[in-house]
Amino acid sequence: MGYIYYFTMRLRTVVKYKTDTIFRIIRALISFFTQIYLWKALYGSNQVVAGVTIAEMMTYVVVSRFIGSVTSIRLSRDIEDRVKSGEIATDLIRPMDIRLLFASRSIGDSLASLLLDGIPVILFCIIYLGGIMAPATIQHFALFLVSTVMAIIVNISLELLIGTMAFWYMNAGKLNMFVYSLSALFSGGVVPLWFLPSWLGSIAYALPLQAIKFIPLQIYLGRVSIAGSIESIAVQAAWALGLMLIQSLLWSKILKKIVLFGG
Amino acid sequence: MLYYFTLLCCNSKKTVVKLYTKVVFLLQRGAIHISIIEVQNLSKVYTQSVSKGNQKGLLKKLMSEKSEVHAVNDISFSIEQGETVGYIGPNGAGKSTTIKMLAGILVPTAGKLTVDGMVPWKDRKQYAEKIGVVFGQRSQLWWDLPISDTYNLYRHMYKIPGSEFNSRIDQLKKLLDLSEFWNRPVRQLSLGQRMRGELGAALLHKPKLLFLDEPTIGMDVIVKEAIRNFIKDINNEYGTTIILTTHDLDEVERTCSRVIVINKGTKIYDGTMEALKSRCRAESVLSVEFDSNIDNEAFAGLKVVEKGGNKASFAFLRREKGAGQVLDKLSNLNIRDIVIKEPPIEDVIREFYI
Amino acid sequence: MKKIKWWPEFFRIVFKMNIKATINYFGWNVITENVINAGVYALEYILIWATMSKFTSMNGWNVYEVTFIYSLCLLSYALGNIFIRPFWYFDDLIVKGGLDDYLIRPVNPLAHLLTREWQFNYLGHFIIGIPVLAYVMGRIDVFWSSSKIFMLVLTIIGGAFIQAAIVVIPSCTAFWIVRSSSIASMLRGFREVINYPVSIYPKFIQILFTFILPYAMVNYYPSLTLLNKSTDAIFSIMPYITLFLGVVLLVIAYLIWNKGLKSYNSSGS
Repeated sequence: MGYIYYFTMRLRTVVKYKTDTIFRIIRALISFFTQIYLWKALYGSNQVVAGVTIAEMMTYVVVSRFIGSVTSIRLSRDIEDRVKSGEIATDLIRPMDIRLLFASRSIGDSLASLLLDGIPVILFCIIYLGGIMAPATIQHFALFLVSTVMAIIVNISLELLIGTMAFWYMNAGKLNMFVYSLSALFSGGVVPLWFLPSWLGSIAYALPLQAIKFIPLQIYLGRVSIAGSIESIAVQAAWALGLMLIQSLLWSKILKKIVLFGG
Repeated sequence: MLYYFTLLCCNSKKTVVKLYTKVVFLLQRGAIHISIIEVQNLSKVYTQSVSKGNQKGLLKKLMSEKSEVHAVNDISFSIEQGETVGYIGPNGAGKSTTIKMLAGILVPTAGKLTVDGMVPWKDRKQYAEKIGVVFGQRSQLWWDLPISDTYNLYRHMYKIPGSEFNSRIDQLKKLLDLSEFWNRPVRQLSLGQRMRGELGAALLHKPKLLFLDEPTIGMDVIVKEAIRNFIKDINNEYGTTIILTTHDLDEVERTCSRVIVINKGTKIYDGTMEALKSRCRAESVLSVEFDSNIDNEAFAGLKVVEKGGNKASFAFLRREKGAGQVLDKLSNLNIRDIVIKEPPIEDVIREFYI
Repeated sequence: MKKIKWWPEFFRIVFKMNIKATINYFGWNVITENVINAGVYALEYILIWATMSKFTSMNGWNVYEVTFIYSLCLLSYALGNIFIRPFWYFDDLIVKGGLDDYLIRPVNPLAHLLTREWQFNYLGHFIIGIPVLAYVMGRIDVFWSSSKIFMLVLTIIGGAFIQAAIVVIPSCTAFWIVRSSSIASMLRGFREVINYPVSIYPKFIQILFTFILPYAMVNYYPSLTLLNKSTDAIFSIMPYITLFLGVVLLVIAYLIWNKGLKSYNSSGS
């Protein structure tokens, strides 16, 4: 039940700070506008570029926003902050797995985020655009939802991993800011990986970041077959497992260190 | 101007110099009293908008009632050069507000306030050269640098000539024991060390006045005692007028000769510490640690407030007996250690309303 | 006469203190900090390039021109924000009483406040920004005469002034409203909009970012001049207007600061 406490943590603070939510919505809208008009300007009078229609791109932006609102990047920053301030010590002495703790908070974060600023923004986007493309088929949509859940898991694993690295690089600046920029490029959140020059694209496919945004997006737009979708979801699962393994390895090393030095 | 006046009265410059030396001599001996702070009917009123409910911004302004908060209400006192005054009151009594007005940060709503012939908030920059201010709750020193660097910055800020600065540093190093951490970043210092660094920084430019706002807050008993001694040394060595705000009587106990008690913006007491103690019906507490467990019978005649194992605490009224008399009753027991705790300021103040 | 010599010496002392403090705070990581910053923006540049790799232009701006605009924004942002970090959390400073520390010194409180926390880790922005800018300037079909270069420098400086004012002015509202830092950080976030030429947006956004929140004056309009993108007379002197606007905004910021200080003197925190 301690986890439930963390889960609802975000919901409670959000209710307290209404203005923050409003500002977050405004920021999201600005971001949305920037992207929409970016693509409109790039397409110009063309309807299709590199096999992607402009209608698909508009849909891409909106669905990307949806996935973005459920994959929060606060987790790694939170851990980083708590390590720097030393508050992490209080977390570690609790009789709960600290990782599950942070994970519950992250999930709670995502849901709260989705409810409070995600959905309003998405509805606005859809209305502003006059509607978006529906998912390719019902099966695709179902797989899309599964894929989104997988994406959340991959995201949490990645965030935990980066946060764990904060234990090693105690005073190192904003490592997570760097990863954030990296993911802007390689997750497909801003630019679909189809548009990337080939060599950049191959790097992207080798990274776990595309498992967070690009794979679900592809499935939604029906750019992969059903079989291909299931395959992609398997890839996501593999990444999630792999990241968690690395994180667990690092984690046990750190715990040993802490026990040795008595915190 | 005074110089020319005296020149008129005397025949030569030599006489003037002699006259001045005599005056300074008398001042230091306390024979002549010149008040350096004159406060008359000082008031500070805030108008606050009390919002109904939880609206923000515009709505708040529209739907609020204006309420007046009298932070400081018609206070008058005067303080002489060289005094160490404790300015005590519970939280929210108006201590910080008064200090801010004395420091030139706040402008009063009513009343007169002059410090060393100047009005603090006018000509603020000139006035700043006469005062030093230390806030107990935060540090003004640069956090990642040793105090020597901040001191150097202040040297330039206050336009202190190089040679004078160096001798001043040596003095302060000796007085406040700064050499032990002179080259360590403030970040690494303990609370006590930091406070010593802050005191030194405030004294670099030889201010006539020193304002200390809750200087020993958060410190443990031993460190508090050390800082109190340093404050006394500063007053003895330099004759700086010191005003110390606190809500803890212990802090004021041995540092200040004079105490001004303030509650809800009004001055309710202005006098010596002893007189305050003798008026007070709130109890002080003497805690004793014995060498071994003691039976209750040994404590006959004393008011016991706590007892456990080899420790016991006794309450007593200062106006009836001193701590020494309490100890006398325990003289045939082996005492290992004692601590005296003065009553909380809230209890002392309650006295004035009975 | 000593007064005039006082300020350069003050600057020198504060400069040394900030360098020392930065090194003490970051330790060896001061290098990593700058490398990470450079890396972050390198990725942003790659993103622009990758986005446009399958497209020829964005509203008539090719990838080099878009990169040019982006660099102007980045460099003026870095330059404008090195000295004004205390304003990022100004409401915190007021609430916790930290502002008082500056009011008890014989120095102008604003000048004193601006001596703190210089962001030397912004060097990373310049390390990546300047080479990239120089590179794309070579790829753009424009002759870079000395007067053009001069205007370019003015643009960056003026842009820095504007970006600084956009931080300082909302932060000063902390004198009257609590929690101004959310508004301030939101306005900082709007910078995203000018990463691309504002001509791609609908009219109302263009108007918003030209006249109300003049971010577009930082890079878009001066680029019309610098890249010969327009034949209208007014667009031939944009860099000068940018600089002028920057100065005006800073003056306004200073006036608001003074007003705020007066208010603080009478109502505390």
